[in-house]
Amino acid sequence: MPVTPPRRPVLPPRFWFQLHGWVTWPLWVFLAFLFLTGSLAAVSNEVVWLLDPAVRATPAPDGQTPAYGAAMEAALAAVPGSSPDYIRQRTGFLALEVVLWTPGGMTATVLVDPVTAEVRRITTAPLFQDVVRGLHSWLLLPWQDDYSLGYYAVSLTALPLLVAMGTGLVVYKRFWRGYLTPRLRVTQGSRIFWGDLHRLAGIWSLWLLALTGITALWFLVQAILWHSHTAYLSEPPDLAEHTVPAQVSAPPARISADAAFAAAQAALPGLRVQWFVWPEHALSPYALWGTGPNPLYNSFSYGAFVNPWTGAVDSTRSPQDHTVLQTLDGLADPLHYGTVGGITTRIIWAVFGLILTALSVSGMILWRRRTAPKPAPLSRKETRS
Amino acid sequence: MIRLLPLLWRNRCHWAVFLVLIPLALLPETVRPLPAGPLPDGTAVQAGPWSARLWPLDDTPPQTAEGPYPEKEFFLHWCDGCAPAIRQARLLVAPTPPADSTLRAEGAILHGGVTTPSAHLPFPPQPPGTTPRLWLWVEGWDGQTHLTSLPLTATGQPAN
Repeated sequence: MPVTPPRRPVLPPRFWFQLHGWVTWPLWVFLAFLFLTGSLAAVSNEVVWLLDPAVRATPAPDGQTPAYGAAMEAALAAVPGSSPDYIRQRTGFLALEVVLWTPGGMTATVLVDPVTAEVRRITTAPLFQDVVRGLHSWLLLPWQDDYSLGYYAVSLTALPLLVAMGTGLVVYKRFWRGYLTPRLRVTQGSRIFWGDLHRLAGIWSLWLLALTGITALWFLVQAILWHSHTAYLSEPPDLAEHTVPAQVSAPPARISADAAFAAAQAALPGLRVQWFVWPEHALSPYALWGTGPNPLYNSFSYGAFVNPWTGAVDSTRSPQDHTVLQTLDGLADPLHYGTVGGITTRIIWAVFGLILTALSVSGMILWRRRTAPKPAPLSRKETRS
Repeated sequence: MIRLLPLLWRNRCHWAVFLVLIPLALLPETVRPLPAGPLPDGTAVQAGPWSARLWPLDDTPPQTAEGPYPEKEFFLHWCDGCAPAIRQARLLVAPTPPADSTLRAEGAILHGGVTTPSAHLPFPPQPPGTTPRLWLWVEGWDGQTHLTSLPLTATGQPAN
């Protein structure tokens, strides 16, 4: 009976190993920076809460919604001559960010307690969370004409990241053993330690590598869409002219922010408002954007737009109305930054992000050792002695 | 310098360190509070009872945007106490005075800050042999409308 020779792989394992190193080692320090800043971005609200007690929110009694109207009034009083832009609520445990238009045509942020409406701080500088996001997402490189070179540089790393992940799995034979019998040998020399650490960190953070790599591919597509001025997000339409007061003897008054909030809640149950945008002109609605019943979607996936003159809800948005591009846009951030399950998932994302940082560093150390020039062979004379 | 090249090449796995140095270098500028400078003088305009100053964000020509025509951002600063009486104000580029209905449908509505709103103004191609003008149309809450204009240069800057 003829013996079938074992099938030889089309490409030898060495090729995949070389590819694994070639795509990552020139970038190791950049990848480590992205993993580190990404970890910080995932828990930036918690970091602010820990380090800056002045902006912690007073705990709200169960079911009490933020005092949006009072918060805006307090902020407007704190910056004379200003007008409302929006209120942002990133989380319930931090002060509301009330953003105002100043008479000088700029914006100022007033941090206001959501329960007591007490003004905590006024600033025209970006907040810590936004600086960390800028560091991680576009390297703080300026935006011009709807693109930033930094955003391209960061999102392009999705490609080497995914190649490294695939090739890593190919060269790591029977990698599932690392889940069943994880092994980190610390006493058998540094080469073995770094090798074990690299393999362990790689397979245990594989899920985050895949999630962030795939969502970063979307960010690359997003950058191209922005750069090419392709509109894919859905802005609330202007109000119908006949619903806006006209030919009146005195300027009319809009409904209160709290009434607009109540109308939005009634029209879209489960809406957790994160962006409360004031009308931008007479024909513009109150726009209340936020997250909703499905935690997989970002803070612009659910929206209710309230006519400020009649109090009627003009239209609503929720994920079932989204186009394919809007759905991808809505899913990317919660999966990339781990906001899907609140503080628990954000901490998990941050911890595994730190493990990925260790993955980059250990990968560089291993590659350096393998590719370091070998010492010259000893001469015959030296061998004899 | 020549001696540095082999060293740089040997350590090419660390080249990406330059990518990390960029954000660190930009960090101090990013976290600095925005300075509150005086508003630009702009061009004085008068629409009915309301005066204003108008200026473009910068001196670049109109840029490609999401709409069909290139756009340029303009700011306007209303006279003291004027804004509450104004229902809406729109900007439009056209060679001749547009009709109210055209302004309502196609004019870029000024929005944002109550006293210093702004608008992204589309620059459609103009009929040959005509000179584009920037039209400011203002409607008060009392229903009265007012129209004024100023000439534009080829790059979309107010000409006076």
